[in-house]
Amino acid sequence: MVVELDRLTKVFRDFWLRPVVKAVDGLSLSIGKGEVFGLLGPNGSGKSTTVKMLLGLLSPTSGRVSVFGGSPRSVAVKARIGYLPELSHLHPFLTARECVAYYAGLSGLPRGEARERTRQLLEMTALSGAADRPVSGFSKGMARRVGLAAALVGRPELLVMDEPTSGLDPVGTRDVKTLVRLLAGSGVTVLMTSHLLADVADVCDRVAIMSHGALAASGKVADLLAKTDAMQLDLPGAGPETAAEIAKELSARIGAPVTARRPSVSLESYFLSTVSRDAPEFRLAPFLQK
Amino acid sequence: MKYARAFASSFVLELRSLFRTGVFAAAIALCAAAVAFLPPFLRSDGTDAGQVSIYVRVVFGAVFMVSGAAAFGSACGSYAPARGSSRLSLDLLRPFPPALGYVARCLALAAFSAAVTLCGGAMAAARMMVDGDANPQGGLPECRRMTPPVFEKTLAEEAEEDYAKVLSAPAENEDEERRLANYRDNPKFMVIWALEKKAANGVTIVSPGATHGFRFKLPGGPCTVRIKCPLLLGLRSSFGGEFTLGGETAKVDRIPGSEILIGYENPAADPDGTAAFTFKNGAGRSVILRKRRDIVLLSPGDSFCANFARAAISWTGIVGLFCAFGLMFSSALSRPVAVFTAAMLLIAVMLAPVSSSQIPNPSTMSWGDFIGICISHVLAGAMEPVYDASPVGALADGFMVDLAQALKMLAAGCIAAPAALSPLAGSALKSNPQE
Repeated sequence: MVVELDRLTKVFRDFWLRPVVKAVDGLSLSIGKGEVFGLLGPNGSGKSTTVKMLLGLLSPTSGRVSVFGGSPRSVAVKARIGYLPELSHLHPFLTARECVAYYAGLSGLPRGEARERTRQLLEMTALSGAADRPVSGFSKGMARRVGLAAALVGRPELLVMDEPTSGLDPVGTRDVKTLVRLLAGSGVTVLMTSHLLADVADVCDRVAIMSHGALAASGKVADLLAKTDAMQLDLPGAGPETAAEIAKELSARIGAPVTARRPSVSLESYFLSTVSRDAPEFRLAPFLQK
Repeated sequence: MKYARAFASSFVLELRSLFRTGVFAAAIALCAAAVAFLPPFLRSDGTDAGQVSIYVRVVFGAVFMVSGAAAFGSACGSYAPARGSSRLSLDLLRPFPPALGYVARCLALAAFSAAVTLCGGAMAAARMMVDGDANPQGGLPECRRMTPPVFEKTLAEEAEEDYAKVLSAPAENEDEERRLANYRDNPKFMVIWALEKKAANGVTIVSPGATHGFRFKLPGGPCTVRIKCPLLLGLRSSFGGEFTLGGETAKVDRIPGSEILIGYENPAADPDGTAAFTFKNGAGRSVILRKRRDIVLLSPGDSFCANFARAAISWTGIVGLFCAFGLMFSSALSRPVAVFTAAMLLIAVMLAPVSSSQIPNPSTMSWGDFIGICISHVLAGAMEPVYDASPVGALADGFMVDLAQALKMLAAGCIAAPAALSPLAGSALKSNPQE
């Protein structure tokens, strides 16, 4: 297992050490290698606190966090983790290239390799044209892409993404989702939190839903979303009359009303097919493919 | 080597932030303003040397002050704004100990201070070369090597002797009774330390017509003996007498000012390299000399630029030391609290020598005074090398800044202090302010 949380609890205390709030309450879950895992929940449900404990930024009050079999605070484990926070607090006086190169340096990469990875990542995130502009002038979406490049520059084996599509336009969102699937395909484990449930449903293998600091539900996305008391038929090439006849026959057979309607694509799919018809296909940076 | 790249990245990031956020430009602008606008307000004692001295003391002092304040202020605000935010989290999540990042930032702040000092110093030196207000003689003055007299006893030996003398003699009045109590009731090391400071300022009284002797290790060649009489400003006009060094005698009378400079062509040294210096008081009144401070031998040194470079090294060490504390406060506290704490520390360090000459004794003083004076003692003791390394006075007086001492200060301020404080700063950075 890449991540194992065992009865994890976090109680925040005030100055006099009196408990103020139990943010996480006995959470247990595990994430396997190459899995895309979604952590969902309303505001205040304990998602961010869980992520911070998983990253070693907060200490659990009780319970155990294990990442790659060790403590997330150990330098060896940190070298295998990438993190994209919800808010991209980048150093405003750096350019995009310097920003990514700075995190490459902190990851201990040799200068030449850091420069090459930075170039590849800026190309992958479509920031090559703005690579030498200060990030203080970037839009939220551009800043997110710089943050994403910074998270990936160390070639992490576990990528933790907090609201990864927040602030991105539909094209950027699609690219992030593609990126997540490609990373998972190359063996990277991805943990993401998001309020945009459609995004989670599109890319996650498994999800956990938190409520009031505890685990409310978890499992494979397909299992959780499947309706167990109904089936759906797709009739390619069928006209309205044919569909109505089949519906009538089926209704008679199962003894319940059956409806037939023309399927439609989602607005997101329509938008993407309209605006990015000629856009190049998203490709993973070469060093991430190895 | 494992962390060398990460260390370099942290160092460069801090430097970039100082240059690109305008701190460097602001510091240089302040230095330029000091060089441009301060000289017309300076009033010297009327001599060319006095004019140079006051220019160097004020203008170069302002440059040192600006470079130190800019670096120290930046240190106090370096980590504080990012504490608890994802910006610091992103740094902490890299495979690089935060304590090393702290050391890298300390070094960057010291380097920044050195850059400001050198740029500001170059501007101040340029004005001194071309402007008669700054230096009536033009060009840059040379500096002189300063050699103190050789004493038979060290400060510690003098302090021990004084300590034994007071404890063995009966107290004859209330003041002596109180002094005896101070000596008896305190740990010996504390009393000795205070007595050493007293001995450093110990005075020698030379009566009219009397002769007092010192010994100097001669550097060879021409040299000058400087005698200052700060305690007898009223006797300026009649301060004089016979001054003999290595067989050469000079007679000086009616010296204007409290400082006498007696030049010798080629005084003869004894086989051990030293020579006797005697002073026969020719004035009508006694002369009081602080024997370890007021009399020194001066010999040719090197250029002003080389001396300024040594002073800049020493100053960089001092700034590095304070930045190490400022940055540590910044890693643990919010920016206003870090700035306040650092400012309090700075004030305490500056005031500590004033009250540290008193021996703390709980039986003769209030607990508040006792604790305050104990803190002063600790601070003054710890910071003594820093006070000694402060280079502005030596630069203004035209004395050579000791390179060995400057390098020691640099090592202490830029390596030892950050290394010693880095575990504390690292722990503070790792602790989340939410907890």
